[in-house]
Amino acid sequence: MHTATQKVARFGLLTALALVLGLLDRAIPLTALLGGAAPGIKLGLANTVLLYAVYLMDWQSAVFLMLAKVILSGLIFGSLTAILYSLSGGILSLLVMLLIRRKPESGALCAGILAAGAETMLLIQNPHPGGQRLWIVILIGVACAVCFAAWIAIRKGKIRGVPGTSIAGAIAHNIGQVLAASIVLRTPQLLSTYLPVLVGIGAAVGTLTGIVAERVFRALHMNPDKPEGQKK
Amino acid sequence: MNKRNSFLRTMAALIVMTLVMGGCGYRHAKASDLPKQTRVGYYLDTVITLTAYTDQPELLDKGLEYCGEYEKMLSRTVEGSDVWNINHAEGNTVTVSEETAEILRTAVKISEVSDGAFDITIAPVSVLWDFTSGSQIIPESATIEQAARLVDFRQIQIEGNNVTLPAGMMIDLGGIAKGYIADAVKAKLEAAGITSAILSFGGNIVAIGLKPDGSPWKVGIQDIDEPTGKTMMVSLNYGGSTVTSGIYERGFTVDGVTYHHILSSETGWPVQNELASVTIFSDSSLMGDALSTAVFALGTEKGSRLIESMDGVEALFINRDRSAAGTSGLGKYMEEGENWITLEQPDSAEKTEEPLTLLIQVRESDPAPGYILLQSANEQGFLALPIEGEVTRTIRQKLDDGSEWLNVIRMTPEGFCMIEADCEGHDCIAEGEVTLENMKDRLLWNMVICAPHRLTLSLYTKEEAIQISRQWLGY
Repeated sequence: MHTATQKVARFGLLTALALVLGLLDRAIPLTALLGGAAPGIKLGLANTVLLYAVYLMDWQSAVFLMLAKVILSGLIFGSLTAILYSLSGGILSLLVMLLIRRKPESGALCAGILAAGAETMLLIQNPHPGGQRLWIVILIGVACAVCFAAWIAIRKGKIRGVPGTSIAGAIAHNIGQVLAASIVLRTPQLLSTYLPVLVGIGAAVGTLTGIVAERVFRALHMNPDKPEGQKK
Repeated sequence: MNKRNSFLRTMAALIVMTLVMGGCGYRHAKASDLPKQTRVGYYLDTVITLTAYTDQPELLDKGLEYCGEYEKMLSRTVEGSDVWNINHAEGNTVTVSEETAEILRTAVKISEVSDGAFDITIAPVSVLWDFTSGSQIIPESATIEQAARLVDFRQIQIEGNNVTLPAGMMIDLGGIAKGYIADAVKAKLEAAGITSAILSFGGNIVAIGLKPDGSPWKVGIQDIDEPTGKTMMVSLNYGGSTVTSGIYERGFTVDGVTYHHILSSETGWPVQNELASVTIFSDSSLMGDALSTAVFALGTEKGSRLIESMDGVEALFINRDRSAAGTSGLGKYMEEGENWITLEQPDSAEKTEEPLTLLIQVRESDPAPGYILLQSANEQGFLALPIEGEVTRTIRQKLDDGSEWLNVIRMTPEGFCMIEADCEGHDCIAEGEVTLENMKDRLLWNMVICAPHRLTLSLYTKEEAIQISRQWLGY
C-alpha cells in the first residue's frame, strides 16, 4: 500500500510526463512527412501515460490523469476550443481502453476491421490517389496488416495485449475528436472525408505507442496483467 | 483521508479552476439573450434575407409571406395585380388597394421634386430592355424613341383609390415597390415586438433598432469593380433605410459602353454620367428607393442639391473612377472601410446575392471557375475565386468580448491557401494550398480548417457551388 504522499507524487510525476510527452507530440510534425499538416494528427506519445494508468492503476486514476492532461495542456498550449476537441477524444479513448483492457485481442481485431473500412472508403472516394493521399493509403494499408497480425499474435500468446488496447484507444480518440470538430465547426462533411484518414492514422500511431508502452512496462519490470491498484 | 473523497475533491478543484480560467477571453452571452434568426426567400426577382434577434422565428416566415402577397399586388407581370389592372385598363379608371394608391402618390411626389428624373411610367421603355437574361441585345433606337414619348408621370390621375392612366401608357413600380415592401415588413415585425433586426431586399436594406449590443448595423457598399462581393466601404444604419442603385446591379457591356437598368425617362437609354452608384440614407425605404433612382439620373450636382433640400435624407455618390462624394450630413453614416471580409458585420451587404458580403447564390453566368465555401461559427457563404491574379482577403471574426480572430487567405484563379492567422499552432497555414487540381489528393480534401477559430474553408467547382447554393435557397 502506498501512502498519500507517494500517491500525490506519483500523480504529479505522471501528469508532468503526460504534458511533456504532449509537447513532444506537438513538436514532431508527423504530417509533414506526408507533405503538409492536417489538424488533429499527432503521434500520441502522451497516450502511453494513460496506458500505464489503465493497466497499472485504477480507473479513477486514469480518468483523473486524462482530465488533468487535456485541461492543463489545453490551458497552457491551446484554447477552450482545443480543450473541447481533445476532451471528447480523451473521454471516448479512455472509455474504450478501460473496457477492453482485459480483451486486447478484440481491440486489435476491431481496429483492423476499422482500418480496412477506412482504406476502402478512401479508395472509393479517390481510386487513383496521388500526393498526400497516396502516402496515407499506403500507411493505412500497412497499419491494417499490422493490426490483424497483432490480433493473431495476441491470441496465440506471442505478445502481450498492450498494443491492441493502444490501437483501439487511438482510433477511438480520433473518432471522438472528429465528432467534436464536425459539431463545433458545423461541417458534417468532415465525417465522410476526414474521418477515414484519422481512423487509419489512429491504427498506425496506436501500434507505435502500444509497442513503446509495452517496452516501457518490460523495462520497468512491471506486469500489466497484475495491476497493483487491484486486489487479487 | 478517504481515498475516494480526496479524488473527488481534486476533481472539483480542477473543474472550478478550468471554469475560472476559461472565463477569461471566452465568448460571453449576448447583450440581448435572444438568438439570431435568419430566413431567406426569393421574391421580386431578388433574394430577400430577414435577420432578427428573436425567439419567434415564425415571425420572419410571416415576413416572407407578406413579400409574396405584396409581389402579387405590385408586380407588372402578374395578371390581376393592381399594376397589371392599371396597365390593361385602356384608359379606364381602376380602383386599387390603399397600399398601391399610397405608393403611386409617393412616386408622383418624387417625380415632381426630381423634375421627372424618377418616373414610374418608364415601363414602355423598360420592357424593351433585357438586362437579366444575358442576351446583350440593344433595342432599335427608333423603337426606344417612340416608347420614350409615352413616358410622362403627369398623366397619372389619382383620386382616392381610383387611378386612371391614358391608354398605351404603362407603369412599373420596380424602382419603388421594394422600398414600400421593406417598410411594410419592418412595420409588421416591429408591431410583433421585434426590436433588433436587419432586413435585406436587393438594394434596399432596412433595420429595426440597433444591434443587441447597442451599436449601429453595418451595411457594406459593394465594390463597383468587383461584382462578386468585395466591400468598398462600410456604412452605418441606426434603424433606418439604406438603398443603393448602381450600374453594376443589372446590365451588360457592349463595345465598352455599360448598358444598365437605370433608364433616362427622357431618352429611354441607360443614364450615362459620372456615377457608378448612389446610396440614400433615410427613414423611409419607399422614399429612399425612389430617390436613389432619381438622384442617380440627376447626377451628383443636381442630385445632391435635391437631397440637401430634404430633411433627414443623406446621399453617398460613388463615381466610375472610384472616387466618392456625399451630402453634408453623410459623416454619421460612414465608417472607414478596409479590405475586410467581416463575418459578424457588415450585417448585410447592399447586394442581396451576397449578404454579409458573401455570395449565397452562385449563378451560371458568374465568371469565377471555383468558389470557396466559408463556414464559421456564425455565418456561411461563398467567396468567388478571382478571374486572374492574386487576391488577399482577411477574414475577421468579431467576438462578443470585443476581441477578434483573424485569418488571411491568398486566392488565385486555381485555389487558395491560408497565409496568416492569429490562432495557436498555425495548423491552418501548414495545411498548405488547395487547388481545383490537387483537392482530391490532399489529406483534408478540399478543406483548410482553422480549428481553434472554428473556421472551415472548402474549395468547390462552380457546378458544385451552384448545387449547394440551390440547396440553401431551396429552388
